[in-house]
Amino acid sequence: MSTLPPGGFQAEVTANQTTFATPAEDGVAASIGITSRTPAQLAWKRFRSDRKTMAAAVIVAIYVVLALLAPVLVAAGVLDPYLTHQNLIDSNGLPVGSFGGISAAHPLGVEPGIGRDTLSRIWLGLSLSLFISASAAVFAIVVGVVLGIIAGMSRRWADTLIGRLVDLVLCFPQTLMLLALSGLVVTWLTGTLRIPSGTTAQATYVIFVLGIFGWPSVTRIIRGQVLSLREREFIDAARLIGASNGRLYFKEVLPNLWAPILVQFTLILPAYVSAEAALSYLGISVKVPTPTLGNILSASIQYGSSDFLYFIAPAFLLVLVVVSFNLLGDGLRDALDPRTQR
Amino acid sequence: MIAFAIRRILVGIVLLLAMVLVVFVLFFAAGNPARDVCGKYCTPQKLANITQVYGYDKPITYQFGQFVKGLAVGRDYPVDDKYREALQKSNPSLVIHCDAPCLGYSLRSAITVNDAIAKYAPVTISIAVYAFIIWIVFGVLFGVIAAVFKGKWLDRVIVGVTLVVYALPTFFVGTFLLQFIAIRWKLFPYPRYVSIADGGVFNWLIGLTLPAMTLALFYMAAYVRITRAFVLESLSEDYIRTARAKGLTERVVLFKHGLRAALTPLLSMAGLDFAALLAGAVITEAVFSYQGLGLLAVISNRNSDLPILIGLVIVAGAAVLAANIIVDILYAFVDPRVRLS
Amino acid sequence: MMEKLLLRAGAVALTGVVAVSLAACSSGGAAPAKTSSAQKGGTLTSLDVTGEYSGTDPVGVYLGVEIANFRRLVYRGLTALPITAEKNPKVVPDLATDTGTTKDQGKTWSFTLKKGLKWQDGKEITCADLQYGLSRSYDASLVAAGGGVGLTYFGDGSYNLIDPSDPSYKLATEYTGPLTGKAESQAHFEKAASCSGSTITYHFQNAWADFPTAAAALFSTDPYEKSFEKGTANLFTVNSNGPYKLKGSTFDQNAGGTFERNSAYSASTDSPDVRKALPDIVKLEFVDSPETITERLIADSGTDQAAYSPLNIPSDKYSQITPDLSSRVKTSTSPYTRFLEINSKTITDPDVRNALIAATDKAGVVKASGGSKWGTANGTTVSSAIPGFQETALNKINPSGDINKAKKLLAGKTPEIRYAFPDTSTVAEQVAAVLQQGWEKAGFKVTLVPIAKDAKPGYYVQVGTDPKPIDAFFAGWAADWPSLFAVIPPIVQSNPKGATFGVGFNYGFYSNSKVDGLIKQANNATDPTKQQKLLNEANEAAATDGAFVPLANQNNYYIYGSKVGGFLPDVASSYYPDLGGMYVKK
Repeated sequence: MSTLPPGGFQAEVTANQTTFATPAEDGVAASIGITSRTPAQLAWKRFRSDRKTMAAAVIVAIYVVLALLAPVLVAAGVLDPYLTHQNLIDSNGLPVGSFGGISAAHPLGVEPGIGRDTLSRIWLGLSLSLFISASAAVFAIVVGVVLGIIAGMSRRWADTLIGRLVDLVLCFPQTLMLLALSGLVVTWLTGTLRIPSGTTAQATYVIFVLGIFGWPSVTRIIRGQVLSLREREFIDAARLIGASNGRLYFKEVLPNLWAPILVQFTLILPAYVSAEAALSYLGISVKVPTPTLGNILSASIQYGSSDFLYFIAPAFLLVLVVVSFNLLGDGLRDALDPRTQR
Repeated sequence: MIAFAIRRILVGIVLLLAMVLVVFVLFFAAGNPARDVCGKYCTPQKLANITQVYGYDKPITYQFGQFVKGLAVGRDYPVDDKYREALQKSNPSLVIHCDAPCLGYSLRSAITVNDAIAKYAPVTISIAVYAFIIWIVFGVLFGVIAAVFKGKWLDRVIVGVTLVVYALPTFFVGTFLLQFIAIRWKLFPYPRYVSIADGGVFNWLIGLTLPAMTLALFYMAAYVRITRAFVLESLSEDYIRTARAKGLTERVVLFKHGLRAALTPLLSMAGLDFAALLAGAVITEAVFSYQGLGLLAVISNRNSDLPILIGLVIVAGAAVLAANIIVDILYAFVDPRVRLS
Repeated sequence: MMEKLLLRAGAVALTGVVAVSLAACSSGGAAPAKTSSAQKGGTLTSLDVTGEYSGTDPVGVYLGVEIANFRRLVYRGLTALPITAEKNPKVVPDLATDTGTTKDQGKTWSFTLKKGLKWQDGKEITCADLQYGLSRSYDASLVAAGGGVGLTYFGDGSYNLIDPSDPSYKLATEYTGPLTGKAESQAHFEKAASCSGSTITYHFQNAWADFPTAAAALFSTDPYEKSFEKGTANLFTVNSNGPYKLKGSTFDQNAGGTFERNSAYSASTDSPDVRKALPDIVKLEFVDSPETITERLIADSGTDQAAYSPLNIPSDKYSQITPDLSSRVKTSTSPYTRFLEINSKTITDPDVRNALIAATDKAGVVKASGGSKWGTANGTTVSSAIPGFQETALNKINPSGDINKAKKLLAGKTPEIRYAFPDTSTVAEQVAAVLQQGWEKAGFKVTLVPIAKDAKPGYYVQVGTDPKPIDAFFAGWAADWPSLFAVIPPIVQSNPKGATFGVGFNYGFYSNSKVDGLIKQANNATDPTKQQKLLNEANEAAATDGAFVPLANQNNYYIYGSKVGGFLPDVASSYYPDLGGMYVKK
């Protein structure tokens, strides 16, 4: 496997999470736990003392609650992101009234052209964007971790094979592949796999491709961690008492990897929120009327001078989501990996 | 050393072939591309004609074999032997020859893929080089400043701004620069690509500035953070402590010891990022309508122009692979431990 | 914008090619250009969206805006339509000395070339060039490259050329063009389109009464210089016989091209009614975003002052068109209609089809698409710009939908409707949302099936091959030449036996023997008025049987720079701005 620092991230669509990974995590094991306090206690202490990260954690927690609430509120009819209000739109297609048609019923105004409630759309959009990004991140992490453990633990052909597979996937131009495959894969998903076309198929595609191009860097990081773990005594001990490979990998090694996995997840997720937005701009993510932060932003971007609130609200929320997740990820890493005090 | 280089190159070639196979299977499993160029009033007979003339009725294994052969020794179009031979007799000038490495022929654009890529590559390379220079210079500069002033307000401002810039989608930044800065407020000339041959270096640079900035901003944000982390880490190494203990000035410690260790991996990383950009800055080129490989990809995708898409993926993959190999070999040259791994 | 987006939806772009119109039409009656102030010189720029030009080879020219522009710049036809605000212009001679003569009410047509006509290389245009040009439209490889149109493909075989000495010879299927065609079929072809001196005579299987008008609109009958032939490699080359020629060797389909004066062209063989050729340079520049184009034209700075766009202002920019821009904005009618095709294979009950029509909120669709600037709700697939245009009974239904009527027709049933639409823009989604709400009120269970713009294969193929059948889908059409024949039969005439996808535009596989019978009668009739009457009867029968869901007749909404003069969307240019009379103000 290549000893290179993982590079080659694609700035425009799939911001590779390794951008934010410190070099310490790449191939070098974090030294965890030699004092009398457990590593977890130490980490928690460091984490709590970092006010910036605590703030980010609170904001992220709020997002998660909001995201979980959105489908419930939509089902209950409190939010209606689909109902059009053509009576709230003037002949130029702009919302009637000031500030994008703000009213008690529509606190953030209505969407130009058709008059759907902006707040409902952004709220549900946030929910779907987080759902898509989290699913893709879970996909990338699960595949990446499993292959990373296998590569790190087996010394021979499995390592080489996985290493080459990682190289192969990383040499595909990601943005281009995401673009070029969309038509084909969505057709395949709806045709062969009978996934309902529209939102379901499009979301599945985005999750699928982000995961497919996301796992290799996770594998690299996990493999690096595993390489140092496998020389530790408890692994030798487990081997001696005759533990099977499966048990060794997933009962002994995996529990020791929770820290890097958690950090990776928190850093991949915002990258995927951005990626979803970029894919929306290219027209290959979930389409309106189903809202995502990406497709709302792609539409609202044309209203910079005519409907400022509609223009700025989704952009602001997107930046806030990405920044707070990144801050949380940074803070987690600092807390879990004392080597890189930043 | 040479053995290591040869091994890397051989592995690279195998990977490239594997990629070609994957791409080919992915795209050609999609069905008959003839339907997409058959056009309006596409009668079943017309469809059958096109399918045959361009060889889409042949088994996929045969088509793949021909494609690889074309990569190795070049090939002639149209694909169907009988049709081509008839053409060769009646109008030999109409048989299109595509030199090795032949990446295919686009029916839709009536151009060999090689020619299409050669035509659009200069714009992409120009943007990539310009953006690369901006992001490396400013990314490293601000990164080092932030590291040096770690914890001070300057560091906080740089890190804060970086976080926000990093979170802004490229299309948002690009559209803003284009529609507001260039068109509405006229703070900058409308970005138009002018080749050096047509307008000289100055106009070339002016034309490239906004797209290059759009592209560079994101990378710059990323590199500020990476540089800062690398420098901080190298400054915490033992040998730095030794150097400080020896009584060297902080400036010598930073520039002679700290930066050098930090920048080597950074530059190799940058090399790979640059190579990846050669596939075309898809969104930036689309926002600014710059006729580069990225926009070519967007339009080919819209037109279902599969041969060009396949060619672009292969060329881009080859660029990344080549950069990987070069960086690996350079690394091995600098650090002997690598050769053994 | 919708037509552009729809075209981009699939490589199989099916909205019509050229719409030339003679009929009365509605809003924004275009004012005639003030010829007194027309000035020669300058550079005129047309800003269009990237990838709209399918080719510049005459057999590759395919889309309305291409045909409109190239007719004025580089490719002269046998006949042409003049630059005029008139809604009912007469076809005039262009390369030919007259507008064609026929002795048998349209089965054979003869045209004689003017003297002194030259290609850009200085060689004379001959009758053989006309013959050769037409023969190229039979070559599958050439036509495939651009998706162009040969005469063979029109009117379900009605307009096939035949060899008068051997009428049973199937030229349409046997002849494969001049590059690979067998000598025998080539000989038959040369008799079907025969030359005598500088006169060419076309022999058709059936009468083609409005052939001279079609010749003005289609490029199939244009001449082509044999020595210029390089096969498909010529897709983006231009060998001009008009007032301009392409600068450089090829036209860039993603960037555009620059056209400069053609010294071999002699204005004395042409008429200022057809081409004024005032600017010294005409640039076709492509930009990958209609919004950016509109922003540039609003800003009106530098060379953009002498620029215009054949694109409609996108609805998300309507609000930026302030009153002070009114002198640079023009509204006109459009040959495009928007409607839904109904899958007659899945919805067999005419009552259900009519319920769907009744429940459709056309007014909402128009509003979501951009309001009255975008279009007007209608009751037919025929644009008001087509001669013989007549509304159907469907126009009497309340434009906002008649839910009670729909409910009555459904009689308690709740049919499922899978509605497909090209997923090209927010507007398309908004239209779908409006349709869904109307239909659901009437009791339909609606599933929306957006089809991505880069779907492979393209939109209309997807519609036909989706694993779960599509019941209704968004469509658009404009006539290929100014005739009801170019609208009604393609949409409602039964597909030929064994067709797996729609031929013409009958993708919903609508089939009705009464309609087919009326169309056949119209084909055989020779009196234009009678033909129109029969076709309108056919359309009425199809409409009331629920063959399609009418939505709207589109409008055009253009913006141009402050130094552009003679801006006139007219019949000759399918209501795109006519390049023939435009000039740059000093």
